[in-house]
Amino acid sequence: MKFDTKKEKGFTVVSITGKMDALTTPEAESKLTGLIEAGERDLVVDLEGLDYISSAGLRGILATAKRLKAERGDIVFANLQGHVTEVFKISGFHSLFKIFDSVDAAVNELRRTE
Amino acid sequence: MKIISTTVLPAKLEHLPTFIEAVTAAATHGGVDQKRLFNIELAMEEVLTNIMHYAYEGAEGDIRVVCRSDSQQWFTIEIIDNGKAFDMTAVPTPDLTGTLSERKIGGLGIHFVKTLTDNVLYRREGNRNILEMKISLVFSAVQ
Repeated sequence: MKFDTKKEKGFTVVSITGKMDALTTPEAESKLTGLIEAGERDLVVDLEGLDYISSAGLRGILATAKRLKAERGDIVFANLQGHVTEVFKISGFHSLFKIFDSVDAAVNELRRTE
Repeated sequence: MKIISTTVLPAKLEHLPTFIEAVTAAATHGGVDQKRLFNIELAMEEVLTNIMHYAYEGAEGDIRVVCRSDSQQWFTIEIIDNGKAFDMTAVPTPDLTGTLSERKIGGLGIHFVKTLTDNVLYRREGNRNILEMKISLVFSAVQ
């Protein structure tokens, strides 16, 4: 699992690549929590390079989304790939979160709702 | 039914990759479609982490994973532990429709196991939990 952050039009874009499983999710979640504690309120999560996610990964995402909501923030997703899309669908996450085909579209949504 | 592989290791998270590698190798050997290896990996992680987190209630214990194929119809994975009795097939499907505040953290793993395999059977034999997951080699019943 690799975790990177960059700024795009003033918004923080987090890229998570590799796997979000029971072994790697605690690290990803603590990094996401670190961003919120540092003051981030709106996050774009780019999953283009994520090829595996389990319920442990979804729990990390859900916990992060709940933390952001408590701070009146928001989390949106971009570039889901085949297997990850499938997992989002069978878990109902597809209708729970805003998911976009590109980071650009995700950033525009955050700007629109800001 | 021919045994393809048997893996026995302590029920600790650090052994998760070894278990999964053994099962995906056995599945490939047993004729499972490459497209379904992801389903198997995910179902295995969910079953194994459940045992690792809860079965032995903090005590030490092993997990035994046996992969079999009858070369005609089924690839079968048997996951055995000696922990407390737990029948995941009896757990109801979690609510998948709530809003963010309503959604609970947890309960999804078992749903994945049931969704991604063709059949899941549980039995308790003595002090052992035996979970059998079946993957069809004939047709793709599950996408």
